[in-house]
Amino acid sequence: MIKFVTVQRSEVNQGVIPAQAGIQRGYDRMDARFHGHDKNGRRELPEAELLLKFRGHRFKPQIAQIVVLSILYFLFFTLSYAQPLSSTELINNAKTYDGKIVVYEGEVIGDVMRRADYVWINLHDGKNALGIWLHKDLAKGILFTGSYKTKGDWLEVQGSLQRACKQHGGDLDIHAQTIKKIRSGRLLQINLNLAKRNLAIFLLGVLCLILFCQSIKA
Amino acid sequence: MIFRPRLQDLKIIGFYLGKIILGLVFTMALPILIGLIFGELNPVLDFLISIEIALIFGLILTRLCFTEHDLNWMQGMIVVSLSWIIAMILGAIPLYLSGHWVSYLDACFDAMSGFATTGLALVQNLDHLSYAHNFWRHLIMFIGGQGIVIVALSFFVRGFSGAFKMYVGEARDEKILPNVIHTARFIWLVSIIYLILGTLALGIAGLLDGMKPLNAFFHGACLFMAAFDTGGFTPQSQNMLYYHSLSFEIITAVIMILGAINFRLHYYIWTGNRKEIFKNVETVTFFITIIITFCITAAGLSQLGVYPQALTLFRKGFYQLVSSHTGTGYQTIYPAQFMNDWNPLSMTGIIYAMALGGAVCSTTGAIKMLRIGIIFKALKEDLKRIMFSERAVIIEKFHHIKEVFLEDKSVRAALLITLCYLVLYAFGTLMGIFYGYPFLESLFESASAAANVGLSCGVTNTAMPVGLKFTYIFQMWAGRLEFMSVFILLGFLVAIIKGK
Repeated sequence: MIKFVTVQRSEVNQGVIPAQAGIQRGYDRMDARFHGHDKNGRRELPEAELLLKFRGHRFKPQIAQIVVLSILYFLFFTLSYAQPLSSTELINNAKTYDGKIVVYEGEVIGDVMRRADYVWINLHDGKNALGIWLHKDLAKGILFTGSYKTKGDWLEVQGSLQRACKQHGGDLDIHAQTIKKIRSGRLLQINLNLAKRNLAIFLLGVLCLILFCQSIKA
Repeated sequence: MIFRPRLQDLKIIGFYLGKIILGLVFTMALPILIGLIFGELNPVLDFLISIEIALIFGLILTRLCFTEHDLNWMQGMIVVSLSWIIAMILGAIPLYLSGHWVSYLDACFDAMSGFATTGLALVQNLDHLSYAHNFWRHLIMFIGGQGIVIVALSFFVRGFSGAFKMYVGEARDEKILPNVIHTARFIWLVSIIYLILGTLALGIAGLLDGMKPLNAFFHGACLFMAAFDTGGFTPQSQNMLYYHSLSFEIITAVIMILGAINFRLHYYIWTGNRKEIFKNVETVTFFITIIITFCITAAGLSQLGVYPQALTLFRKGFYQLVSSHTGTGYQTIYPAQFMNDWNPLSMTGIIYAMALGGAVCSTTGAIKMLRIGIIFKALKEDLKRIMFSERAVIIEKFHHIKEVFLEDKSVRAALLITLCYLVLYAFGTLMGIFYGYPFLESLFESASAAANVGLSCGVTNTAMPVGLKFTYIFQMWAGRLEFMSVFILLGFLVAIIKGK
């Protein structure tokens, strides 16, 4: 499905508008524009057409529409990185995304590794984990990291993807600009598996029987 | 005429298999300890169940097949080859019970990969695996690297003449000390001293790199076990990329090289004879092949321009190369990057390195340096024969612990094993192509499995065909045991069916 985005890239980069919210706003605007009606059912002229009429130019409406569509087309390709991308997509197409701003989300796993004013975290999206390099202040909100007993915080990170990071010995990583906690992690409730317990007791019984038989024969 | 094996043969094989199973039980107690320390009750139950199953089988075998007869060569070799399969089956039980492996076959794949010190993995959601299971994954590499039978020889079997037959069956034909039990114990002594030092070094590096103290030393121990035994498992799913650390890369590279050195050479280094390092045919060949294969890899990488800085190119290229040449399989790139970011030339360099391997009587797999050195010397001798006068007496020597005259017998043995490895690489490649994978990917993964390396370009995953999983399990097993005991087992099975 094609997603049209009309938010300014600078707004997203600065963290003013969360990427997903921006996309949704773009959807609403596009719906209204293509159907030619606003939410109240009133006829609405495309923004560019209005602008051109206001300035008194004599462009035909079709040309104005082409211009608008071209701008939207351009915006679509430049801002499409604002959508969360999977680790597989990023790793397999690292050359395409190299140096670009990408949005990636996943669970924080393992350790939050402090390195001077920065930290390394690793985000796992279910397929792979990617290393995220971020300022220590951005990592303050991370409370849970994924392990056997813990579900880690689920974060959305926006930053530049480095296919072969010059700063970090050629690693494929993301230098984060903003992070957002989508879901908070938690301690996992792990109950004793009764089936395993019963099997262990049964096998212990069998083992004792064998040892008993051996001792009788001996 | 082929003779059908007697019942006595089966009883002897069964008895010693039972002994080795009982030895394996003791190693399973260690993850229970780890589980109890970290308060992981279900994993403790997984290992209790596995121990009970292993004990039941071990006790039944030793009881039913009780004998006081010693092993002959055939029986020793069969015990070795079967004990690796049984270790895989039993070692996979706790893994499968953890729920992190899709099927029991996948768990068996990882267990064989661990015991054979390969490092290819099908584990799911590794980052949420318990400490106990993670420790077991690495411990089986440590056990497998030393040799499953050596574990039994060192701790659970009193001296008997059959010990040497089993020792040889595990692809260790060099005795460091006159007595094979003492040799096995020396190998353990070296390994445990290095384990302590390596764990400390990696643990401190982890602490300095911002890891939690407990995690730093746990990872340190696991990484050491997998690096020294040239295995390649890591506690986290990203392999070495998880650490984002130059110090980890340097320390593990040193450990990998130490693991790829002949234990006999370790003995000489320990006893103060350090000159042996520079004279030994294996270390000289290792040094030369590292330079050649790195040049190929670096040429490929520089063509692409993926790593524009020379230092970065060296860091990425050299680490992957050392990892492949020593048969470890640690990666600082994602598997898919081999196919996407590296070109065929750079991958060829890695494939050559994987196929060559480390030293004999080390924990590595593949053809090995002594054989490469011998083949090269034989080639040199033949060239001299052609070039020099017919009256000239050509004698070729090589230095391996002492000066050794090159004999046709040793050349033949080296060439035979090399040929077997080449056939094994080709077999895995053909199977990969049969299942629809491209040639280069099939060759890469096949060489990685058969040479017990563990580097992956993405073919190995849980969705790969079942036939390919069996192929790689067979390659890992045959490659680790260096064929002889595998051939004898196959011959034994033929004798059971066709013998009179």
